[in-house]
This record gives sequence, C-alpha cells and structure tokens, in this order.
Amino acid sequence: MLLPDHFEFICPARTASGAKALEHLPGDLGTLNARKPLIITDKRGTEKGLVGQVVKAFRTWGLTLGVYDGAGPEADMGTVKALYNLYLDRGFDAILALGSGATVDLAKVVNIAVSGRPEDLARCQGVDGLAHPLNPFGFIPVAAGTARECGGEVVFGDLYFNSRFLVPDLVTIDPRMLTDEDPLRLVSTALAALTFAAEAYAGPRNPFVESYAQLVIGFVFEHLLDEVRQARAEKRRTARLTEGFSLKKGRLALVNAACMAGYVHANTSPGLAARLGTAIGHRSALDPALAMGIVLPCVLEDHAHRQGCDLSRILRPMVGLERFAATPRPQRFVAAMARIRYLFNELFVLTEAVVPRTLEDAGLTRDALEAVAEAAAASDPAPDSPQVCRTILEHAFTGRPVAP
Amino acid sequence: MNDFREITPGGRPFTRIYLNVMLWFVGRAIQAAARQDAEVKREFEALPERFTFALAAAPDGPSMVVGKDETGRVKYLGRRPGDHPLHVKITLKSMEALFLLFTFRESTATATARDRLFVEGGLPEACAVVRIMDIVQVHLLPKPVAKLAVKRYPRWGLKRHTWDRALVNLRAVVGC
Repeated sequence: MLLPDHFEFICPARTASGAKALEHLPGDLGTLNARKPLIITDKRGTEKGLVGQVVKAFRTWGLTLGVYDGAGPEADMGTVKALYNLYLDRGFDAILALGSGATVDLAKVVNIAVSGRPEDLARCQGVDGLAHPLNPFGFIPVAAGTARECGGEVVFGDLYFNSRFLVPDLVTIDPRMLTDEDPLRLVSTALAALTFAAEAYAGPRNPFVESYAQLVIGFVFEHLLDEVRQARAEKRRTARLTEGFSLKKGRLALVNAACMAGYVHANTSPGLAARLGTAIGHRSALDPALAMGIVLPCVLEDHAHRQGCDLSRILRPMVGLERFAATPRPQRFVAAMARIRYLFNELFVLTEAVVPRTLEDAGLTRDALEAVAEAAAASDPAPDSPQVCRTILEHAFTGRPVAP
Repeated sequence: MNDFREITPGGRPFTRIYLNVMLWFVGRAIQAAARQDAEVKREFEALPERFTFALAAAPDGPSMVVGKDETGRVKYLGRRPGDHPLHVKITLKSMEALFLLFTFRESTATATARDRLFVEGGLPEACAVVRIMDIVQVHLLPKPVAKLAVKRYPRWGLKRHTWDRALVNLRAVVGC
C-alpha cells in the first residue's frame, strides 16, 4: 500500500475485551483518577442483570457506584439537567455508559455538561465544538448497538456534537454483557459496522483507518452468518448447553467489530451510504443500519465507476489473503460487491425475509425515494449529489448493480 | 429521581479466605521447595542477596511475601508486603484475577497475556519468580490440575516426581 503524504488518526480509547474484562474496569478507572463512577443505562440493563454484573466487578474495591437506569429515546434536556445536578451533588467523577444508541448519547451529553456547565451544550455544538477533554468516560457495550458509540458523534434531540473528545476513554467488552439479545439487533449492529468500515475505503487513503476497517469487515464476514444460523437453529438440549461458548465468541467478535467501526467513524467523514441509510430510517420504518447495508454496494459501485476509486482491495478482508490473491485484479471489486450481496441474500433467507435484500423488499415505494435523495444530498455540497443519490436509490430499490 | 440509586458493592469474604489460605500454603511450599528441589534452589541462588518478592491482588487483596534472609535461606515472610523492602512485586489487577490463577483456570502466562497483572521490579527476577511458582505448583497439584496451571507440564525423573514432591508437601504443611 502506498503511504499517503499526509493523514491523521486518533483513538484515545483503551479497549479491554474478553472474559472477565469487567474486572479490569475499577483499576482502569483508577488510572484516570476516577473513584466514583455514575452508571447510565436503560431499564433493560437492570432487568437483564447487566448492572448487577458491573456492580459485582467493583466488589472488593470499596467504591460507591451510582446507577441511573432511566435512559432511553425519551430522555430530554430535563433528564440531562437532573443527571447534571445528581453528578455534582453526589460527587461522581466519571460516567459509565452501559447499553447502546440513545443511552450512550445521553451519557455523552451529560458528560459534556458535567465537564463544564450545562450552558456549554448549546455553545459546543457542531464539528469540533468542544475545546477541552471531558471527564473520564467509559463505555460497556451490549450485543446490539449502532456502531457509532465508540465514535465522536452524538445526536441528542436537536443537538449535534462531533468531537474527538467524545470518543470514550475506556471501552470494556465482556461476554457476560452480550447475552439474551435478539439476533436481528445484532445483524443491524454488524451491518452498520460494515458500512462505516467499507465506506472508509472510499475516502482519503489512511493506512490506520484501513487497518481498523479491514478487521471490521473480516469479523463481520467471518461471524455474522454463523451467528444468525446458530441463533435461529432448532436447539437440542446438548446444543443449548454448548451454545453459550460458541455464541459468545461470535458475538464478541461482532461487538469488537462495532467498536472498531466507531473508531473508524471518528476518523472519517460520514459516507454516502451512512447518510442515505439515516435518511431512509427517518422516512420509513426500516432500521437505518439495514438501509445503510442495502445501499452500500450501490454506493461503492458509484464510487468505483463514476469517481474512478480503486476499491478492489476491499475484497481482501472478505475472503482472506489466499482467495484475494487468487482473484485477478480486475475481478476483485466485482467479487467484493457480489460478497456483500450474497451476505444480504443469505440474511434474507435465514431470517425468513425479515432482513430485506432491497429497498423494495423493505416495503419502500418509489415515490419515497425522491425525498430520501434530497435529504441525503442536503449535507453534500457537490452539485450532482441529488442525481447521484437518486441513481443509487433506484438501483438499491431493485437490487440492480450500478453498471460502469 | 426515581431511576437513581447508589450502591456500595460488598466484599468477597469466602474468596478472600480461600486466597489467603492458598497464598499461605504456596508461600510455605516455595520455602520448602527451595530446600528440597535442586532447580528451585538454583533459581534462588541466582537471585540477589536478601531478595524478596510479593504476590498480591489489587487494591488491598490477599498477598504473600517470600524472601531470602542474610544466610540465603528462603522464608515465607507473611502476608503484608508493606512490612518488607521488595525487589519484585507481582500485582494481579483484581481479586478475581488472583482467584482465576489460584483456581487453576488460568496459568500465569495466560494471565499475563490477558493483561491481568503488572510487575514492579526487574523483569529477569520476575521471570525467575514465575518459573519458581510453576515448579511449586507442579509439586503441589495433581497432574491434570497442574497442566492447567502451568504453560508446559515438565518431564521430571521418578525421584523428583515422588520423593521430592512428597517432601515439599510435607515440609509445606509442617513449615520447615
């Protein structure tokens, strides 16, 4: 790979992954001078015993933990202010976000507030609006997520923040936290991760970003289908007994992929597939992560054919080095796109059409595509953007590859 | 706020008792092996005079201290690392990590690879301590269990496997 003249990469997170990783958390918080963390989670975190697992990991440390389990999509500025007061009144010095999506966004917004003043929230909005590092922040992922949690982007109501200071200081991935999740939510996490990683190849060359992206793609292609197959298979008693070991290994890999995709996301601009997926998610019942995955091959084909990007190297993490080397260079990009479409077709069969292959399968109408194209193009200054979005959506609607 | 509560996690009294007993016994077994086992004796002879090391769990978990006195004799020095000037201190990052080690679910090598411990002091001396502990564990544990606790189960002669082993265990119990 050619070394670009200039590139930047930042990943301040310390990631601990594997069996008993939670037990490292008190010590890791200690290295950040944090002695009294506030855990922010949702009701599922408490009901499934995940909070209990975290509390257990703090036994023998003589620390007091705060647990707030009212996070969720309905949280608003009132919740932020209440948590701000709680944090300061009770003397907390760190936040641990346990969960995904909206829960982590709430925790990050609270951390911005407690690291300064609540009024800072309005002032620090936008890209690179935060001027200084925040208080220690840890993230404990569960099996399902948006793959953005480890990144620096936060959307909370009308507020939008994007800063490297929002990347968690500690990420603790423990198999005990990855239990009892709907496999479809895991699929959506994996597809979001795949989208962020694959689109990173289409951006400016950055060897660090590509290293992470390569691992994300490799983990998703190696484990996702097996995970879905195992989760949906008829379970005999012996299978149920051994399930814990095998399922956790695949899940652990996929959650690691999601976290790495977050680091990729923090170092790249949002790609077209991510923007289109988000726009589709806002205008239909389709999960944005699934929408991102559906439009992904069409977006990459557009990059390759219209903009002349050489994306053939994206095949390598999908099939491994030997099969990559065995594929002639001109066939590699086509083979990679075929692999992504094969992944979706398999998911469609395995989930009995719950994971759609195309936007048509997802129940979208052609009329809705225009509004999606305009919404996605609104954040892109290129003049031909609406037309490009329309073309991509047309192809993703029926699953027709974008021809050169 | 209805959804908020403060929790002070309790201790782990039974784990603490188990680990204290294990460390006490392993400490005395190291003392015994230094007298009975030629390889352990050689390892200690190569270490500096009055060499003392501790194995402990953070933040204030169970611990043991073993060291050489002025005559070069190896002694179990109790369970308070603060009372002795230490050349090497191996600290497991949590009591759970020490529990994994002493329930033989993880070997020292695996615990190191999984970033469960840190060492204060010289690395060569720390490696010698790990080698000594491996030999002692082979003396103390039945083969199937010892295989879990050490990286490679050693090939020893019959005398070492039977006579030396029996004496190490006996001396550890008696404390001489």
